[in-house]
Amino acid sequence: MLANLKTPAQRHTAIFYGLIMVGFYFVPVFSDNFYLLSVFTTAYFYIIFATSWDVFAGYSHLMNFGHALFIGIAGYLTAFVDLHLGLPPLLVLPMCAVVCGLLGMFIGYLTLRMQGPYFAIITMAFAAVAYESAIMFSEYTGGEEGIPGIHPLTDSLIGDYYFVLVVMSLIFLFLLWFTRGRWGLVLKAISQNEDAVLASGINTAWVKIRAYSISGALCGIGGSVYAYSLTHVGPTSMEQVLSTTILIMAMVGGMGTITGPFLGALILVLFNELSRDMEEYRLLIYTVMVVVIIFFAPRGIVSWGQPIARAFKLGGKRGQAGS
Amino acid sequence: MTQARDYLVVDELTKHFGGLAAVEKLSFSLDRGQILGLIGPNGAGKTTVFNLITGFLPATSGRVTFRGESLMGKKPHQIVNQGLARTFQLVKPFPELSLSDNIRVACYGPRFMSQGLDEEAARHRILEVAEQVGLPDDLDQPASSLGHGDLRLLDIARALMVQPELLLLDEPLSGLSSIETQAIVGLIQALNQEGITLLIIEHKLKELMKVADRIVAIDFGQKLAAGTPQEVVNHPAVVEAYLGTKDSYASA
Repeated sequence: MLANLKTPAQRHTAIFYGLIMVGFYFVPVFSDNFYLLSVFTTAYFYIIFATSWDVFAGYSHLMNFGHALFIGIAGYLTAFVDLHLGLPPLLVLPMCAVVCGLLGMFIGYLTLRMQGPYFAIITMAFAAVAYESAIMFSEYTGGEEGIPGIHPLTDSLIGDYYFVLVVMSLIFLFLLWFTRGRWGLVLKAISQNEDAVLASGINTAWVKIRAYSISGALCGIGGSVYAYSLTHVGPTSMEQVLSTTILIMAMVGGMGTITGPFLGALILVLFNELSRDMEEYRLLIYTVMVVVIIFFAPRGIVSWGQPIARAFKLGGKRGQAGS
Repeated sequence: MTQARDYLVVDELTKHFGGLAAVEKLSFSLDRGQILGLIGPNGAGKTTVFNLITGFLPATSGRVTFRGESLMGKKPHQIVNQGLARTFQLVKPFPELSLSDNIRVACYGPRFMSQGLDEEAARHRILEVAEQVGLPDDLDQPASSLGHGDLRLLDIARALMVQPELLLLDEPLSGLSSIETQAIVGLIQALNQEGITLLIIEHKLKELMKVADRIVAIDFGQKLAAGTPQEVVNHPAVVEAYLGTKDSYASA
C-alpha cells in the first residue's frame, strides 16, 4: 500500500491517519477510565458502520438508508449462536460476515435497476421490515426487550477495547486497500457516468452487487462485535435513526473517501459525548454543527485537508487527491 | 480467419417506443476494414441504431450479428468484450477523475484483463493511447478541466483501451473547431489503417465523405439510400429529407 503513495498529499494523509490509529492503541496506557474507554469504543463501532456504509453508498452515490439492517441481523445471529450453540466470537464474526454479505448480495440484486430515491426507499424498507419483524416475532427475538445475556468478548474492559480496536483497524485498512485499487476507481466512475463504464466492457451491476455485499459483510462484523460488547441485542440496533446517524457521519466526513466517514464518525461521537453538559442544547448544537459543516464543506471535512496542508506548506497541489 | 464480408450485419432491425417507430426494419452491413457512415436528419433514429447494436436498448425485432455471432439479448459490457466499442453523442467523461484514470477504467474490463497485463503494462498502454489520440500531456489533471474537443478525444481514448475491432463513433466531430475536426478526421483514418473497422454517425458530411467508404442514410428509422458517399448525397430522397433542396445544398 505504501508503494502506491506517490504524492506528498497521499503520504501526509497516510501519516495523519497512521498517527491517529497509533494514538488509539495508546489510550488505555494513559487512562483506564471506564467512561473514556467506552466513548472511544463507541467511536470505533461507528467508524466501522460509517466506513462500511461508504464503500458502497459513498462510492456509488446510491444512498443506503437502511445500513443498520446489517447491524441488527448480525446482532441477532450473534445472540442465537452464542446462547444456543456456544460458538466463540472468532467463529461467529466470519459467520456474520458471510450471512450479511449474502444478504447484501440479495438486496443488491433486487435493487439493481433502482436509482436515486427509489433505491433509498427500498433500503429503508428492508431495515423497517426487519425492525418490525424483530418486535413481532418476540418468541424468538425477545420483542422490544431484545435478547440479553450474550457473553462478553473478553473478561476486561481493556480487553474489549483492544478487540474492537483491532477489528476496526483491520476493516479500515481493508477498505483503504479495496477502494484505492481498481474497485474503488470503477465504483467512482460508475457514480459519475455508468454508461461510460458499461461501454468500457465492465459489468456495472456485478460491481455494485459486490460492493454492497462487502459493505454488508463488514457492517455485519461490526454488528456482531457491537452485540458482544453490549451483551445484548434488540430492535433498536436496526432502527432508522441509527441508519441516518451513520449516513450523516459519512456525509460530514466526506463520502466516497473511507477516511472521511472515519473522521466524521470519530468527531461526531466525541462531540456527542463531550457536549453532554450542555443538556437540552446538545441536540440543537449537534444539528447546527452538522448543517454548517455540510454547508461549508459539501465534500466533507476531508476536503479541508488540502488547504490546511498548503497552509502549512506540506505539499500537495490543487486538485490532487489527498484523502 | 475472421470473415471480411458482412462483418457487422443489421437485419430488419426494429425499435418501437410505444406507438412510435424509432427504427423500422432497417438493414445494412459493414465489411471488415471499412468505414461506414450513418447519416440522417435530427431524430432520424441514428443514435437509437447505435444503442440497439451495442445493447444499450433491446430491439423490438430484427437481428444484429458481429463476425457471424448474434448480439441480440447481450448486455452492453458483453458486446464490448466481443470487440465492439463505442463513444456517445454527448461526451461521457468521469469529470472528477484524472485523465489517466478516465482511460484506466477500461483496463478493468475482461477484454483487457484477459491479456494478463500488469499495472506497468497498463500504464504504458494508457500513455500510448493518450499520445495516439492527442490528449494533453498532463494526464493527472481532472477531466473537468478539459475543453469539449479534448473530452471527445478522451472518449475515443477510453474506447481504444478495450482494443476494439469495430469502433462506433457517435458524432465525433460535433461541436469541434476546424482544427480539432481535422485532427479527429486524421485520427479516424489512422485507426482504420491500423485495421479497426468503423461505423460513424456524423452530420459534417464533407468530413465524413473524406473518410467513409460507404454511407447509409436513414430517416424516420428507415433506410433512404446506401452506397458510396457520392451516390448517397446525390440520392434524391436523401437530398430532400436530409439536406433540404438540392439547390440549398449546392449553395452550402
